[in-house]
Amino acid sequence: MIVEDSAPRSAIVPLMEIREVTKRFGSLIAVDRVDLDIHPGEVHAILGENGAGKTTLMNLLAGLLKPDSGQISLDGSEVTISSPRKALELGIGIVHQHFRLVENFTAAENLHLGWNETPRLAGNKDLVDRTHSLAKQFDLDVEPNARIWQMSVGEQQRVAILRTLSRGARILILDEPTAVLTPTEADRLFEMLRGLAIGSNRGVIFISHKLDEVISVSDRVTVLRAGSRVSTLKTVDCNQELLAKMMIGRHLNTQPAPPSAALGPAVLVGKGISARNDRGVPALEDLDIELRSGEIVGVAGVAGNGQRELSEVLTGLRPVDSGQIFMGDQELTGAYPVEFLRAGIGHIPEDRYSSGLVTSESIDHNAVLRAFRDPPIRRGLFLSPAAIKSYARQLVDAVKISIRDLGSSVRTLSGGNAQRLLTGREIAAASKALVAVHPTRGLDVGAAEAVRQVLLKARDSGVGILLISEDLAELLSLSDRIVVIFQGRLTGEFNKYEYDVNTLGLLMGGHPAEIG
Amino acid sequence: MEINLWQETLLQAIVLGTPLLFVASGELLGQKVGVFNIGIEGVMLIGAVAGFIGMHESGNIAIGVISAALGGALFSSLFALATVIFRANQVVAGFALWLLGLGLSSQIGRSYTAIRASSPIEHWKIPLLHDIPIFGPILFEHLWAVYLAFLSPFVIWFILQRTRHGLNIRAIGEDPAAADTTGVAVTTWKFLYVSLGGGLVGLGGAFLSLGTSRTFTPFMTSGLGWIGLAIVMFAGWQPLRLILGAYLFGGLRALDFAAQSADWNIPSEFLTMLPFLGTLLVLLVSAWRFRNRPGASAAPAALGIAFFRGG
Repeated sequence: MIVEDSAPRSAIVPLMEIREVTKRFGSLIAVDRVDLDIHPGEVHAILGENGAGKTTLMNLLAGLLKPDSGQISLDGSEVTISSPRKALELGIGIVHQHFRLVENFTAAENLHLGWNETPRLAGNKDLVDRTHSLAKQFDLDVEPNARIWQMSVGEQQRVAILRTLSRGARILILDEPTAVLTPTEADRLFEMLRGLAIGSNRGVIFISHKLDEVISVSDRVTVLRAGSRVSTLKTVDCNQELLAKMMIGRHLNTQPAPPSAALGPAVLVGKGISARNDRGVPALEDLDIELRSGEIVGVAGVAGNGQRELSEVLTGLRPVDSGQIFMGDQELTGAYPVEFLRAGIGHIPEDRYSSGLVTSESIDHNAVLRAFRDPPIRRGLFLSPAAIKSYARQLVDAVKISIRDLGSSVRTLSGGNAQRLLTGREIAAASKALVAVHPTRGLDVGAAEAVRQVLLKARDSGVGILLISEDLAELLSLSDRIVVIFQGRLTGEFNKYEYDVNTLGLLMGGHPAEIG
Repeated sequence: MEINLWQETLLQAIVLGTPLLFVASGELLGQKVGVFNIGIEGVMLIGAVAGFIGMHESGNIAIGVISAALGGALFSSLFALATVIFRANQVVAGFALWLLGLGLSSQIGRSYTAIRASSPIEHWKIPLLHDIPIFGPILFEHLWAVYLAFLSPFVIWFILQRTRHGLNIRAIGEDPAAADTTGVAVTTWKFLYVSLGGGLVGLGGAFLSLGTSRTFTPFMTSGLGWIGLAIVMFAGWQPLRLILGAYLFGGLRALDFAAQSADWNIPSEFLTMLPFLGTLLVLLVSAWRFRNRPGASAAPAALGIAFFRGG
């Protein structure tokens, strides 16, 4: 039996003390009388599923929300975090899950935005020079002149982390920071966080639902479930099974999924594809890819090596400079996205909120986005509200989300449920092939598992799935075949059970590896 | 004679472009923090009448000009109150502001019409420079407010592009949530910049009532505010290009006058139409540049959108 580490170390005044903090949204208690101590020099993990209250708790510390009751103290004196500005003044720095960077600004501009150490008079060159030296100081690879919208999510996150670090936060809060990082980058981040914390008067709060990360990075871990604190433990006393049980109350399935039962003919095929990214720089170069019916092909790679462009080319969203795309015998090169849809290709895009779902629209309208062009939803010139409702209801039931009001906004769904809705919709559209990009990113264990089961079921019914993911464990578990993408080219291919993680890692890093 | 007509046309281009430059600069300030004020025609009229009354009652042009700026700023702060604080729809509130300004300025200025400005904005000859042959008289013998208008886009450009404050301000128009997260006082600055912009728009109105017409007439702006909106778009939201836009629009109006006085066979409507055609072309070119980014444009990304914290 594990002893809870709730007794304060009497000699040290905690950097931050949270007592009985509660936050309600209507009838929902998002954070329920949570206690938390952050000691100087520690990395404190907060572990919980989506909806456990992690993000709400963080928003309370960030000054974005005000607690309904409870106290927050810094250095032993009670504080009111009335605004994000106040949070910054108090030394609370946050790297959000959605980075809150200005899309049209460069990295340098974002880094210096709202910062009192930015020189009062500073032209672009000053900002770029300062960014260079800060990036060097924290050993983060950031291109000062690149604009955020041109960056991969991984690159964007580096800007966000660099921004928070630069501002010298005493309490650094990271909201699922490794969701988009490669294993190497994640290790580097852990090392950096440990370096930041150890022996300093800083504290790092590391919010995550990934057990292995929590164990490798944190000194202590607080587990939240359904808005309440389950326990706070020393990490050395924990193992993954224990934490998983506390977090979700059941054991993890880490077994590889069963292999494809029936491999069919080629469905989605790209031949010699070259395409450019948003900056006009070649992102895919003479790439060949073949997806067969009834298999999952995993695409492994470090963020920004052409994954996004590949997914967009194969769904008709991005034009190709050269090469051809086929669905079976039908050539789709240059066709509109809707023709890709009609050819039976579904798409789970990288960012579910900006390109997968219409957040301002209702759940049922989002559910029929792929199906509204055809009967029974379309009736002549009109759409049938009844058919929309019943289609949406079926979809929602199929992916097992309980929703009372289909007319409410997609924004009311948790991240996991929004992704399930999107997955369900796209699988219904994908009669032949599905291009799934990071389908489980940011989801808790339960929701991720549900999405994976849906993907496997689709595969077994004969759909070819291209799975683009930065989660190696997921790729290894689901894929029937793994290809490695590096700088717009496929640099390796492995069959199920023949993967060698080390070789994969080397190929992802751009090292030519001898393949046995 | 021909030279003189051209000289006169260029001179008039600058004079007629000046109120437009004030108005467009003021509108740009608001749009840079994400507030689209289509009611600036009304703000201009308030500036025109406030400036005239201030000057007339005090006999002092400085007080007149300050009244115009204050009048424009206060009147725009009503709009800011509605759109920034109460988050009303900007188009609806803008229309209301236009109509309110139209009526209010006529009502307030009723007893001041048909009076000549006793102490108008004076001409300033810039020493030495105005002696330059041909260009001297065109560029350097203007009402002093012309120079002020010319400088304002440079000041705005400098603040926006070369200062920390400007970086924060631009971020408000691009992504207020991101600005808020980093501690920028979004609502406060939005309110202040919309009001400040109103002050500049007010100066544009006063330029007419105290500078060129030297009298107040109801509805005397005759659509200049709307042209100011077009200039902001024409300039692609870049401050220095406002100068080009304002003098181009002013120049075509001047050309129109010249064409009439010299009996050229150019239809007036054609000249009046040209700048708007130019605006459409600029918007098309800009849209083409952004064709690979759905929803993106040269405009501040959050233009016209109310900001809710945590939304």
